[in-house]
Amino acid sequence: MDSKRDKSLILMFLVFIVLIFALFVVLPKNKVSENEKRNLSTAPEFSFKTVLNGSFEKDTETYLSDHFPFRNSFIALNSYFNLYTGRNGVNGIYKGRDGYLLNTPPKKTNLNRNIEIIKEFTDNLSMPVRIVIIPPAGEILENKLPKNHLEYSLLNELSDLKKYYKNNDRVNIFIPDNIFKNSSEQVYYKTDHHWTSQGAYETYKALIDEAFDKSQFKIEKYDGFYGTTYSKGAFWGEPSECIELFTIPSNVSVTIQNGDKTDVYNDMLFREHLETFDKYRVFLDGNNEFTRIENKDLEDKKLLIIKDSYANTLAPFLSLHYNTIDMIDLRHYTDEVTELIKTEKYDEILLVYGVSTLAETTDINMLY
Amino acid sequence: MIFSSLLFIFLYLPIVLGIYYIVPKKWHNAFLLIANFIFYGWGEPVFVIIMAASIISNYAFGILIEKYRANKRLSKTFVIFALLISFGLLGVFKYASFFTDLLRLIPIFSFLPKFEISLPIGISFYTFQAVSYIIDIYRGDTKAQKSIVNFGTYISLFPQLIAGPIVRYADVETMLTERKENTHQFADGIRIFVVGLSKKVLIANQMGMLWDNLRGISDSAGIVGAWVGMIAYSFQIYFDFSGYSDMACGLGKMFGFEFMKNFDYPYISKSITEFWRRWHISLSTWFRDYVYIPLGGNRCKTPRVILNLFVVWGLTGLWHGASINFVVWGLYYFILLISEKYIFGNLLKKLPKVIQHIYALIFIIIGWTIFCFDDISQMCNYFDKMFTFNGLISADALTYIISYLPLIIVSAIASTPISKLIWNKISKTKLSFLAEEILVILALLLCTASLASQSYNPFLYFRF
Repeated sequence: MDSKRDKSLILMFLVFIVLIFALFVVLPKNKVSENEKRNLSTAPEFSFKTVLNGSFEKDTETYLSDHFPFRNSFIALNSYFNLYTGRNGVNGIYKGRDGYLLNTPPKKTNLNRNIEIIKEFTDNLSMPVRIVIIPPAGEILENKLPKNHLEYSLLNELSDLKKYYKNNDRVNIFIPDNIFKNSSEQVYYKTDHHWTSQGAYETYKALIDEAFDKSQFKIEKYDGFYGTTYSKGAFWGEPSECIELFTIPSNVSVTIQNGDKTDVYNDMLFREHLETFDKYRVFLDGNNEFTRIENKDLEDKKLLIIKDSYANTLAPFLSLHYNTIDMIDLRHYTDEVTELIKTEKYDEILLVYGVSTLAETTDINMLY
Repeated sequence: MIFSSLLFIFLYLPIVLGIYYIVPKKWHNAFLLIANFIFYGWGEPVFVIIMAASIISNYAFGILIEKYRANKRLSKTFVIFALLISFGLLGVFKYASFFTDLLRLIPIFSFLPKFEISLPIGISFYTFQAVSYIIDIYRGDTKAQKSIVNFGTYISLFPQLIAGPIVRYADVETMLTERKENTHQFADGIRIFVVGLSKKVLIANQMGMLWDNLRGISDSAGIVGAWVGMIAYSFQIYFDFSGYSDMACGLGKMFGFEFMKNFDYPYISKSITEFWRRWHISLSTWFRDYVYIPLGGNRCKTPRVILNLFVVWGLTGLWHGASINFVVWGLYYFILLISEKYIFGNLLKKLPKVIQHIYALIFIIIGWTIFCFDDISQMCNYFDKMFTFNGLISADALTYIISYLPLIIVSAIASTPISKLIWNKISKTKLSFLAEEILVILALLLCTASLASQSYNPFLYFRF
């Protein structure tokens, strides 16, 4: 009967919108979105003023979006729907072969500018400098990408920088593209944009002549790691992976400073993070303003690392060869870099950046 | 507030529907008026005053014009005042900046300050509705509305307040006071609303992304990349606008109102003349009834008819936006329309249908190129990419197009009545009951998923 059909359609529609509305009101609200690494919004403030200036309205919309019932499921539904209707990569993550979730090519907005700043920065220094630039996983693992993908060609853009330092004895640039392409190990995470400890190890081996052999490290494996590309892509069905910790017993002290707060630790690995969602922070407690690693067993040799988050896995290897390593993250470090270099009188300087950071960030300005 | 948002669908709508159907019938319009103001004020708390002023002014003048209809001079004066206020508000808020920019080009007027006035949303629509009301009363085509609540409800009716269709008072006069909400109409409202929502969220928004991507690389995308980009934009604007009109229609039905169809598959047109009978029907109807016919319409000598068309199309262009490219767009169609009317219209009809379709589509797409860019130099740059050979298609442009190909095909099919015809055939079978429920719930889930994702912001480096 037509009327029966109409009635059940009305019922279904009303139940759908009313049920979600009711669930939104009733369900307890989370404080934090682990996937987005941010706090979820709190209830909007209702007053004559906030209604008039529009902030109540905006805050209500944000509050509803942030605490929408089944939010994570709906986001995943959207991701999978786009994926299966031809639009792999539309959310910034390619779902590739063998469980690889790879970032789509970054926008090259600031790449050339940052390259110029780096050139000028290194020219004005007197001590040896090494620059390590890590290509995006999508460019190295081409055979894991879906067949229809945008061009990365980030390595192309770096050829100019390579040429610049070609005959320079003091400044060296190293890009682990060949060692990664030829490696038989997993050098990038499948669910994260970073290199694995294995990838960091292979880069370490290429940088330091006296590098320890892999067999000399104790390697611990921790399961259940979901990284940044997993969060970004929202393909919740993908399996988790392992984080490996390479350790050699050594006498280190780690000082971490953020603003006025300074803390001292005796381990470079912060294992408490392995119990949380953001496991990558196990390496040197994530990205801090200023970190100093001191290895008392070694002779004086001071290194400054200017970095984004890739170096957190590399620095522990290097701590076996330098008695003091200072790490600064330009996204958080607010003092003058040139002043720091003058005061601390480093023997060597190391710049470690993922290409995607270089392509988009404006923080390199801090090197001026 | 926009229809395609979690806020509207899951907060505003259940609450408003709930209260509407609980309160006694005589309070329906009063409650609706409040709901309308909340809807409008949500996005523009301060501009509610402008809309209220428009309502009060036109309500008062409507009654005065009717009362003093016998006194031709007096009633005409009232009409002029009413129109001055309506168009004055519209002129100041929408066009002041544009006109002073133009005037400043003339040396004498270079002292004029730069106006930075926000545009109250919907003012283009409700102003035209109010004007139609005043003129219809003056012409005796309709009676003035005695209740300010009812009149206010008409002007501010939230389904069509923000993006039309432009609803003439005469068309809804009876519905304002004597509508009988019923199950079948409500169910149809849901069907049309869900179709419109899907058009907006699942097609228009996505075509918008394809357009953004291709536009971003348009300098190197090649000639095919440039055309597909503009085709994506053409799909975006059609599904956005017609999706919105569908939602307006559907929501109207849920409250007992019937609005006219605003789009009739414009992209299957075989001529530009036909296109304008299928695109934004309520607007072209309004211009026909309130500008073209009063000017004499086509009951004059040819030169005058052409002038009438020139005025109508210049104003139509200007209505769309306070920027020179919109006027150019309107006049572009003016030229095509008089060419079809006086020069090659009959010849066109004799050509094979395929050629007629292609002719229409090409000129429609070119039209959207003019419409799209309010910066003339960017527009010329894009035309250059469309008409000079600078490579066929770049690798990245091809990648984007392949990704969106399933959606492009769906958009093309959805631009034609094919799916409607198929559905009508299916509707007659027993299975259609289940099919309809499944399709509707699927559409709602996918649209909700898309809307929920808009707030998803994985911020990779934050440390809290």
